[in-house]
Amino acid sequence: MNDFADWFSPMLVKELRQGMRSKIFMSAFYLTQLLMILCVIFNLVAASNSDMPGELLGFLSGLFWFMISVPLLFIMPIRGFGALHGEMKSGTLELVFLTRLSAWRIAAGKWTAIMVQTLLLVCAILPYVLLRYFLGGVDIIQDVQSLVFLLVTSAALTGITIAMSPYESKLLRALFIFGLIFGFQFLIGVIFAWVAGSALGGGRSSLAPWQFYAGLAVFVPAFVLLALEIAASRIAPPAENHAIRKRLIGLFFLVAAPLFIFAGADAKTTYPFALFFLAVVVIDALAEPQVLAKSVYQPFLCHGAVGFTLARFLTPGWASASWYVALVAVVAGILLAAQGELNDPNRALGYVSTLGALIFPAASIRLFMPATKHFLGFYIALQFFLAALTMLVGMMSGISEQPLTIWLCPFPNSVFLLNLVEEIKPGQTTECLVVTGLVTAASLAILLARTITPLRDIRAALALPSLPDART
Amino acid sequence: MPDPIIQVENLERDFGDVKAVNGLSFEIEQGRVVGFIGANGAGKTTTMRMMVTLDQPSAGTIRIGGLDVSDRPTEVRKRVGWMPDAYGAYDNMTVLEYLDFYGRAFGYKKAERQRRIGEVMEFTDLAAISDRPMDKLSKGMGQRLCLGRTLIHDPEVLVLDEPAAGLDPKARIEFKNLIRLLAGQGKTIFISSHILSELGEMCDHLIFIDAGRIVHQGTTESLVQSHGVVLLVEIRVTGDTAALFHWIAANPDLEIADRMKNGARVKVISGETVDLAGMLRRLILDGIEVSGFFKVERRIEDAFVDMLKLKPPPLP
Repeated sequence: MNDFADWFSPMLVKELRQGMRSKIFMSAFYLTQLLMILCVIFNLVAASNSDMPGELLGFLSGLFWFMISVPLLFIMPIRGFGALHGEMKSGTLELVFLTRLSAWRIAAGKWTAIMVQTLLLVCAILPYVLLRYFLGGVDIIQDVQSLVFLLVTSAALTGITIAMSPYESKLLRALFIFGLIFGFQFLIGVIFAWVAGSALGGGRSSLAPWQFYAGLAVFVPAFVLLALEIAASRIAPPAENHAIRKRLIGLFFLVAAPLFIFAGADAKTTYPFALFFLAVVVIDALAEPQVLAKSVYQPFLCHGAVGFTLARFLTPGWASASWYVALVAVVAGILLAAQGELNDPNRALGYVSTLGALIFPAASIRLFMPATKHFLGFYIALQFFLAALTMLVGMMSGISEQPLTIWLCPFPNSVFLLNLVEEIKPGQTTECLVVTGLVTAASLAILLARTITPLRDIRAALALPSLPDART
Repeated sequence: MPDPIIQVENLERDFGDVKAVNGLSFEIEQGRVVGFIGANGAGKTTTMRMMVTLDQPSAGTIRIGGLDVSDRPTEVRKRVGWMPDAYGAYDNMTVLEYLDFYGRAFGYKKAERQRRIGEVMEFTDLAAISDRPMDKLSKGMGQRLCLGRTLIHDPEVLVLDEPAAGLDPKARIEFKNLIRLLAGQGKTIFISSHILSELGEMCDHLIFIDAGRIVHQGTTESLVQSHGVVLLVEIRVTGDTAALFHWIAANPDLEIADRMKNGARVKVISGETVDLAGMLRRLILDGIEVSGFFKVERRIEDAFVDMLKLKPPPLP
């Protein structure tokens, strides 16, 4: 006979046992209760005073949601940072790999455990939400919607922190934490906008409620799956292939966006969202180390020529990732062209420079340091450098009143940023499009050319004369 | 001769330009206890990690029970138990919960899991501390728990990397006894350690590696008798040892194997018949205050030193 916990993943059971006793969860729980009690006291005082100005009531409402946001959007997600890193440092993760648990189940167990604890916090908050309703002046439906929105955001943020958790570089981790704190402030702004009714009630949003919820229901789970796959791929032994799922999720984002647009969603909002998610897939794939594990190739090799072709796009490592990026570029180009998105030169420049901004730094690194183990660090550094260069030239252009930014055309990253802030003059769009297109195509060609050696090595190691290499 | 349960063939592992393992080949029969010896950085841990599927060979093959570890890692993991040199303790978790987690992770359901945990706790004598938090365990208890975790899925092959490192003498003896019991149960044990004398007592077979290559393999006896050293003599003195060391250095037939606080272990490296009485007489006549003079057995440590051509530090 099984016990109740046998129905759940062993990792979830372990993490819950540990997590529920952890000081950080207990502190978050007590802190939330304390803050909620304070909020209710303020609301009681406000309710008893009929002369209370509307602005103060709005402030109290904002304070209530801010206090809920801190544990849900900051304290609980930030626990994800240590989820895998702690086990990697103490050497316990490898022992778990030798059991039946895969890297995916480990990452998913960690995420689920944090989410269960977050749910517990939400359940503990619910009575205060109801109490606010009885004190009056509150739309209970909107409050519950806000709580669900917070929970969904918390789920996505926890996914992000767990995906970042395996990185050991202190600089990268510091950057991630800085990003999370910065992102938290941005999210707080979104929450306040939500509470003020702009997202669903006020009609200022470009999304209809059903589109918003459908977007949440489709993109957030896919994004969480992607984040957990990224985490799993970073910790997995070389014999596990996580590239398949990550890259298929990337293609899913690419295909889901036109479907949403076909159903009536705005292309201007939907494509950037989908491209943002796809960019995560592309960067992660290009940063994958090239490791040969025979067991990864065997399932492909069983299927002859079809298997060989799929292996070209779906096996771990930056070499196959480069071919995957080429495939994504072609598919995206076809989809965008079919929907007329490339007819407008400005929009076309936006899409081409987005692709260029993603692959230009990658091609530069692979050109000069093909075997580097610090790809992601160099990649982020290059992105920062190009962004700083663009800002500097932009400022100089403003001061000197000379069109200096045109000289940044060979850098797709600069063109992307300048296009984003509408700094490219109408007369320069076509020139920029041609130059950026050429640089982007050249970057892609360099990336593909650089795959010749690793693919040849793989073919040799697997003793496969019929495995097509990059030159065929 | 029974089929080997572990087969390693031309194994190589490169880390960039560094060859950590360089053409290693050996076979181990079922039920044998084999010691794996080498200096730090010799490639022991790298080889062991490849054997338990935690790393991939750059070239060559490893088969456990006939299964290639690169091709069928999942099946291999069921048959192998891995105990690294340092076990990581979990926060907020007791000994019982730790074993319960691994029992679940190996797919055991309630009754079977409880039976396995009970057996492992009894074997490793952990039952009395089952409710103790992991971070409150001594090193010895921790190593026993780590061994218990290694045994939870009843593997045929145990790969133990420095299991006795950092243990006090009592815990080391307890641990050695557990290894002997496991060997009695027919488990194949592949064990590395820096405590060579203990390996000599525990193992049927020893494999010495240096710079990723095997430099010797065989029984403890064959190892001790190898390398052509005729005799080892331990000389103890009452006065200053420097005089003894200089005396030895002045004799071309003698070589210091090991310096001690009050003397030295000396290799007599030439001559088919050794005149120990004459040697003692010359020592006394040369003014060395000899308090002890013994013919001693060659130890594994001596063989290790010979194989790696290590020299004692120069005289001050």
